[in-house]
Amino acid sequence: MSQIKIIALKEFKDYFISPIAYIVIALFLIVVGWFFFSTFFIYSRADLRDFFALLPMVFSFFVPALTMRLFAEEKNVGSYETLLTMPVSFVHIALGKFFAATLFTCAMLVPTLSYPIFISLIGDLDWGPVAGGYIGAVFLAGAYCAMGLFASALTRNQIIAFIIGCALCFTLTIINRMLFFMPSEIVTVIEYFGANTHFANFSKGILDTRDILYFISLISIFLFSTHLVMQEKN
Amino acid sequence: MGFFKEHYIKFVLYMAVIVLVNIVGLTLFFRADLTASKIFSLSDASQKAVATLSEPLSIKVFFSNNLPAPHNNTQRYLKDLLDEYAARAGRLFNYQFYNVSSAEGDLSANAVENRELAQSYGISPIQIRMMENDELKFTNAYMGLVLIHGDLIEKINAVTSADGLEYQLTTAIQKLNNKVSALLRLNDKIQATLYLSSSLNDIAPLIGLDNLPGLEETVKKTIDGINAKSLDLLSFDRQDITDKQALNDIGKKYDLLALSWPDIQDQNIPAGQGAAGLVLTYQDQAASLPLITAVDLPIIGTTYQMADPDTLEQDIMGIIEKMIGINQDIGFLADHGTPALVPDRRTMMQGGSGGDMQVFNDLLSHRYNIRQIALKDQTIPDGLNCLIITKPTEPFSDYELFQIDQALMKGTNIAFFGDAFNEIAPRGGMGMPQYFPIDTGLEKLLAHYGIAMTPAFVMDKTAYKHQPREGGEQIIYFAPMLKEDTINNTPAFMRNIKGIIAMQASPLSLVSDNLTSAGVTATRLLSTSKESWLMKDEINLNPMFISPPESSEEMDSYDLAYLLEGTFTSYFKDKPVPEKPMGEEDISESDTPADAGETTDPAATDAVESDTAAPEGDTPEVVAQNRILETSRPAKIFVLGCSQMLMDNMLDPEGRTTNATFILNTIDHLNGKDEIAAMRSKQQMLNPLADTTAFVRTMIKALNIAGLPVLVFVFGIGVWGTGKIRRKKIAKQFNA
Repeated sequence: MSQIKIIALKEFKDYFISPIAYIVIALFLIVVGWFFFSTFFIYSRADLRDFFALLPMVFSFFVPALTMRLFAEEKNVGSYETLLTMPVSFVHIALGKFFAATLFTCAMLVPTLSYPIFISLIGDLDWGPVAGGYIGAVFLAGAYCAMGLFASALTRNQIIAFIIGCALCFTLTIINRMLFFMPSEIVTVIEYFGANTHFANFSKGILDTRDILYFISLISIFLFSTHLVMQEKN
Repeated sequence: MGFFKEHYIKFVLYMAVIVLVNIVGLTLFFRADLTASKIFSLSDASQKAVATLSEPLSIKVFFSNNLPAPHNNTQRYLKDLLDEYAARAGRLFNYQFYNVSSAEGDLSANAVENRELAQSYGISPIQIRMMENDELKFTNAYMGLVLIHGDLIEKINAVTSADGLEYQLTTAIQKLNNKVSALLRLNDKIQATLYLSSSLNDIAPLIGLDNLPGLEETVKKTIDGINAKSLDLLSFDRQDITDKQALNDIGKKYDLLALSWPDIQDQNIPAGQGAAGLVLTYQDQAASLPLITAVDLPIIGTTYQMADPDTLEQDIMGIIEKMIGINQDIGFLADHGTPALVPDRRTMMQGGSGGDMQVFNDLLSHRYNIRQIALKDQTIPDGLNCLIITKPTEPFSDYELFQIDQALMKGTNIAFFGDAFNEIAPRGGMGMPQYFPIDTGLEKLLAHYGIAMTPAFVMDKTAYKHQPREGGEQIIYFAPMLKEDTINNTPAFMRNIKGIIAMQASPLSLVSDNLTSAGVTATRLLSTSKESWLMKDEINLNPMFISPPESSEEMDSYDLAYLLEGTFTSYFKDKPVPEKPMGEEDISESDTPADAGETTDPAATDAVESDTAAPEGDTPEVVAQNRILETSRPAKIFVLGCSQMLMDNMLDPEGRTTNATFILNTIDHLNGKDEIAAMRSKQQMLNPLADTTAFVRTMIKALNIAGLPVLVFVFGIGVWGTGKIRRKKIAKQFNA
């Protein structure tokens, strides 16, 4: 456990030592802030539905950007081999990096807490769906980080890792909108795989064990897959 | 090879476990609702509705599988909701989803059977749009359900949205419960008399009604079907009347369509007459269902249609439900120039709107049995919870005011939707309408109870904005948009009402002296923004000619709706009982308000006797003693200075808008149905922002779009700078 914690903290600190982290956070805030507030006063509703509706799509690009370097960079510069000489297992490494990335994505969300604070000053905000939305955002971040980590484990090229991560996250984000094209027999199953439906429940203010189970399953599958890839590549 | 086997097998096993856990999780789950008004949890009214079931209630759901979004989500929500009901109801509640879907284009025997079952309950597929093979197609999908309680059935044909689904289900369950109680209360059977003249058989082929001879059999079969489901409540009889006079009498009495024809030489049909219609009578009530209708079509001429056998049962049940009173009665003042609840065909034919309160009537009829009360001919029935008075324009006699006053004293709540002006449209539609102040006499009654309406229209800067086709924006100042800060959300039935549009509203004011002396509490429910002003003398509602006053001192907030609660004092206290105006039908003695309830009414203990003048005539020694109830039972008066809010253009047929929710909740509150009002309110999703200045909006946008990234950037530079200083310090230490 302590190994996971050490790796997670080290990776987390690494994010903040590099100026890229601040650029990514600033860029994230500009993107979501612009899209959310550009129409916010037109609709004039005291809620964060539109902000949470944006998150899966925005995370599809930002999270792979954060996770692409986790394995690919280490393999490229050769520090991965050094890491393997340490008294840590593949599980420790995968989980440590996963927690670091998820924690960083959560840190990216922290400044957005100013949105509900400002909205509550000019409207009667229901904090339940806001809390639900942020809890869902943590699960969503976890799932996308696991996918990004898997993509990073597959290759030593960061660009390829980013593209694979984006493709995976983007597919899960838009799969619900592609159901029209699916054979009717598998629509229900495919729809269950979509991250949007499960996340939408959180942002409405519903904490449902089925949605939590979905995200935990997604995280588990991709962490297992990462572990498998690490073992295979070793 | 061994490596692959071990890791891949392990991986596959993990996957299998995850899939299984997810499958189990679909049935065993827990849900927490974080919303403040518990939008996604079962309401108290729903819990109560299923918890008080006395007989098993089965819900059969016919919902096609694999429907595209959003219908698939509706199915999931429906299932979750039914689970919640089942958890609260115990063993008397059960539901089942029936497979009605085709597999690979073919229908399995089971699906065919289930579709037939759905059809037998009157559930038919509806058309939805979906994408298939890169093409947008319309397909038929089953999305209905049927509730079966004892032998009674209630159906919801199309569950197309999760919005308001709980309200639909709970009210349907309540309706079934009420129906069972009403049927058990019935002492006599309802008489169903089929007036079907055998003479019509001769001309049936000539008017395109070949099936007319089989009509009796169809009606009998339908009534047998109803009897089998509804405790044998109908008694059937057929009358074959061909005599002209009898036909005229019956036709007039029950409003049946009578046909007559001359000699038709070619077909050897002699001149004759006949009628077809079903008349349902129960105690002193009668209602008719026409079985033949005549429609005049241009060029084609008159065509005749026979009642559709598929909807006959539904039509008959609709009449029966009204007759046996499964819904609570609600009074509606139907004379004194009030707008009509149902369309007036004659006015429509003359090019008029023919009544503008159809939507209000439909929305209210779902839950209440509306008793239209023509005060000139009738009295206000005892035991009525609520009387709705909408924009009366003709004066009330003192005797009629006395009836309203005494109804209030007996505890009948009053909902008054009034206007200060009567709008008279110009002849021929040319020119501007004229507005005449309304003075019916009801004003003095309301003022006595503590509320007065100013003869003016309120204009508001915060008003509905019309966007004409040619572009631009036109503010309709006489349609104030009431927002959260001007809506009182404190009363439970007002919760979640966060935006209302009024139209041609008149301001209200409290008559404080009368309120303090009576001990009545007044709750302001609606008011306009502080930037409102009055249009008093010359009324001209052309938006082009209305502009706000230049000085803000001329503007103020005006109250639009009040709820008065408490024990009211009669307007007729210490006054003689008004005499009934001459020239009207006699009101039976037992119906007179003075007589009704004089011994059984507990409030009568507060009443004092007052003598009226002895009637002049041959028996001067006889002195009639009437009793006036001088103090009311606890009662409520709701007053809204805007009758336009009940009109069709201000309400939606589904009753989902905040305007409709506000009106229906108010009526429910006056009928003691606060739980239903709370359930309806919680579906409201409108949550507008408070009014803000452009500066505040720009500041919020700037801070959140640009300010936050700048802060993060500065923080990053700080961390980077601190690190640099630290690194320099360490380097310096080692270099030194």
